[in-house]
Amino acid sequence: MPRRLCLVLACFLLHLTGCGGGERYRIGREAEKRGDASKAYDEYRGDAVKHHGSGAVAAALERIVPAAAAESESAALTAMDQGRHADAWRLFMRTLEIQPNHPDAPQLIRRLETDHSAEIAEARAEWLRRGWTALAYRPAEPPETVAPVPEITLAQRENTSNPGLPHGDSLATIRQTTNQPTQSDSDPSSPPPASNDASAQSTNRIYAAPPPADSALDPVPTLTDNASPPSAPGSAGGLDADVGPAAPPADSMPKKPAPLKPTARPGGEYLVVHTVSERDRRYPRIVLAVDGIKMEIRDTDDDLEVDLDLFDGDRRIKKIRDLPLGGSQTFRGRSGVLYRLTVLAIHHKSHTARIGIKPA
Amino acid sequence: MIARPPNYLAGNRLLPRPVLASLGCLAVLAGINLGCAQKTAGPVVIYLDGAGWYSSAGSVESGLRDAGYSGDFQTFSWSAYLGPAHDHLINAGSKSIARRLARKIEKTRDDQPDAPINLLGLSAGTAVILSALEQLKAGVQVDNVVLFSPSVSADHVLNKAMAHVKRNLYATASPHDAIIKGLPVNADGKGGPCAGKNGFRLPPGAETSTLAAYRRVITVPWQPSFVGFGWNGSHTSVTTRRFVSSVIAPRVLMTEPYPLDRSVVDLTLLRPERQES
Repeated sequence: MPRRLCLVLACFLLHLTGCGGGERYRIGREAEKRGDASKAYDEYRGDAVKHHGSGAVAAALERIVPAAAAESESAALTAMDQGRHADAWRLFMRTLEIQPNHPDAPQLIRRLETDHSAEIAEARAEWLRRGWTALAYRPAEPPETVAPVPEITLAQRENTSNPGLPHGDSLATIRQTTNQPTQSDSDPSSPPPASNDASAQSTNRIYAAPPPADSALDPVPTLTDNASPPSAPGSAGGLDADVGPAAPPADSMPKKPAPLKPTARPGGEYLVVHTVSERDRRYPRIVLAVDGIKMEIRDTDDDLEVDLDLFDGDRRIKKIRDLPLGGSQTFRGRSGVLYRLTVLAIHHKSHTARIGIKPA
Repeated sequence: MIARPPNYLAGNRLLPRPVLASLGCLAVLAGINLGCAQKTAGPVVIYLDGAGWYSSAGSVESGLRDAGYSGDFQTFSWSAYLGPAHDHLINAGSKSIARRLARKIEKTRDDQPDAPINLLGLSAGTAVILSALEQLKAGVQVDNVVLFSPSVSADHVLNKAMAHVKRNLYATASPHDAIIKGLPVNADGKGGPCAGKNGFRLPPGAETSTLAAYRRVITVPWQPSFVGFGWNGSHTSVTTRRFVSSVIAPRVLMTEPYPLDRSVVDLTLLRPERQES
């Protein structure tokens, strides 16, 4: 009798926890370890078709969503800046499919549909035909020309009339253009680029918004090279085969930029970019900023200013008040190194700010 | 010796005096809160639980709050508390219960003519919602309706109900829903497959008015990615806090059309071969 009881209990526990996932889950794990969030997401999602009761798959999907969405959004922003509006639309739709409560994607999709309806019509029709199949992430071919982007652009997004949700309507961001080489060009510890194509010498870099809520997965700014070489087509997901028969033609799919790379170049790009929020629960209010220094958001103002406190342990070392968008302040880390923090974006409705930090 | 009944007036009480005093205070406070408190203005969500399932309101409310909803969240009790079978077979189809919900909606609308009112329901509770919508007075509208795992017929004609919905009616559907698959009869008493499996179906030979109504009927079918948000395709996990917060709330709380929404009409007319299959 006890043996039977144990068996029943074991079955019950197995039912509760689910199985551990299949082959695609394993591939996804490997991709996640490599830092290829999009590939990992596609694999986990594909695995969930069969193992929808698996706790491991559910946890993996939950974990990978912020990074995959940020990666997709970053590629979409790049496509938008290059004038590839249909691709941008597809990528924003994918971003929204990955993270349905994405704060910015709905508004950007609507803007693209309004401003470039003719270019997007075909992509939209294809999406409607596709039914409920997932949009796979396909590699990109490098654009021949890069649209000129101003040195620093403060993009103030329009307002929408949503009373409850934290949208990107009043989100202001800074896009930074630099002619410096990528980290992988100079940092021997980073993985080499996928190709030696000349276009890999990217010029346009965009900080993706928003960074993932789970900073353990992607603690660095999601910096992307928009003119990166095409990667292997193996990352094309194959999700369309998983769910429903209607798959878009391969040549109409969005293109994948180079894998996201961490930026740890002193004096160059931001060492880290943190999103902190007072009200949006997806983001922490206090974050370990850099070099043992904690950063806490206190408030944001209507006129896009942010109040921050910096702590060394429990001791407040700096009180920053009314720091405007684009403004910066210096502070000293625990090791004595001087750092500069810059306000990259503010979303006042949710009292959220994105802060970039680099050595001063 | 003759046993006498206790004389309460003479101080021979069953409950001690402090307990009675506390109960009295509580009663006064409850009266103040229920009867005299000023009603809060603003958005209202009315939620109906499923048959014999009385515990999903908390996660739905938490999910909406996580997404930034700050309005009133009310639950409408329609169950007889005699088990799921009684609720599903008798109470869900009761016109008088639906009328009670309809009167509640009308009163809320009278009190707050401009406030958004959203109706959310699970399983057999969705039958009560549809029936109540059909009984609303002309001109009374709610903003959105969300039907979680609706156990009503996929062929339920929604024209009359949609006349009282200002924006959209969302219905989740999952092929992995074992409860929906095993139902002997739908909660609305109508035959055919359940809407909770593949969504509502556009009536054959639909006229213009029907097409207009069904353009606002949107199926949210289960997708593998929803596993990451807590909905693994089962009947009740659709009301998981994370799923409500991440997938449902953006649709309901947003005033603009949600980009991923595809109406029943879009899916039927653009992909007829899929619908037939």
